[in-house]
Amino acid sequence: MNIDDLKSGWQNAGGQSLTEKELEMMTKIQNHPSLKKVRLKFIIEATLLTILLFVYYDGFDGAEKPFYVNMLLVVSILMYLTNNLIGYFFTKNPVNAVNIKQSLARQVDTLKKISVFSMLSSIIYGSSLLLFLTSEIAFTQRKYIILAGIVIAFALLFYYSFINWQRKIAHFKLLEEEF
Amino acid sequence: MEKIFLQTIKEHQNIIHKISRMYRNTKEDQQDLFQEIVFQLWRAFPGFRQESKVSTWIYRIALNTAIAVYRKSKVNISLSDDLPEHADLETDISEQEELMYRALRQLNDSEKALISLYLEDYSYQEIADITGISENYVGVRLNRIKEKLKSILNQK
Repeated sequence: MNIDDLKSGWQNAGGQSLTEKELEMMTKIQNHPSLKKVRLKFIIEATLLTILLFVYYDGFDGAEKPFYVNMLLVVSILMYLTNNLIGYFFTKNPVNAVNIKQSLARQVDTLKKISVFSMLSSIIYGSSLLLFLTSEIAFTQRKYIILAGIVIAFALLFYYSFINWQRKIAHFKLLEEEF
Repeated sequence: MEKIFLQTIKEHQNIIHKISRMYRNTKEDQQDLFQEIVFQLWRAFPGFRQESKVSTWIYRIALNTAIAVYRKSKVNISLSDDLPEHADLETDISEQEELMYRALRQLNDSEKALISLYLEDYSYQEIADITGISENYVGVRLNRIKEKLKSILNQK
């Protein structure tokens, strides 16, 4: 096969034929391949966190904790949910500028901003949760060990998330440079 | 508006099939990308002012979408030199066509975009407009890609 064969091959390829009905299904957001998963994750997390917001005050002794600890927990949960929403809209609207190079440049820029907010909201959420759980309790050596374990687990999660974001940004930066 | 959109896409769906097959290795990924492109085209349709050809507009959105959707790198299991013994009954892709896609999939994402537009007979100026690189550079890049493709095809 040479380049000319490739050209005629390309121009004659793609002979599948979907009906208008099948194509119409694809225009519906509920049939979107990746948004379905993102939306399900968002609904589950939002439901669980809303339940937590309603029950934590009585169920987890919120009334006995300082006001600022309660406040931090509520704000951090709202920030976390906002971050999920931003992720949903970003998946729904991949950047489409007038040309591919410009689109990639915008994507890198948007991803950088989203990654900062995402990391920040996760760190604030994790720290607030820890602060809430450890506030006003008497520490023993055993509790310190458990706390250290939780802190290490959180740190590893944040690190993994950071690496993922860096990988994603580097991927699109490289693509932009390739053009 | 939906009726006009669906008719337009039905007439030009070959473009989306070709881009999906070139940018994704597995059938499932290709179907997902096809669906994602149709979804993005539907969202962009109200802003399409017919200043360019419909096919150019579809190519621009389709290529943008194929490149913009991030995939975690997977182990590529479909680049073996052997063709499957049985042809894909659902898609009825010929051996020659499968060889073509196999060669094209070995290019990187930017090379795929440029060569697909070249193979579709777009002018250097049109390719430059869609990709955002200069007309002169389009020529340089295409020569390199053609050389790369020749060596890929000669390996077969």
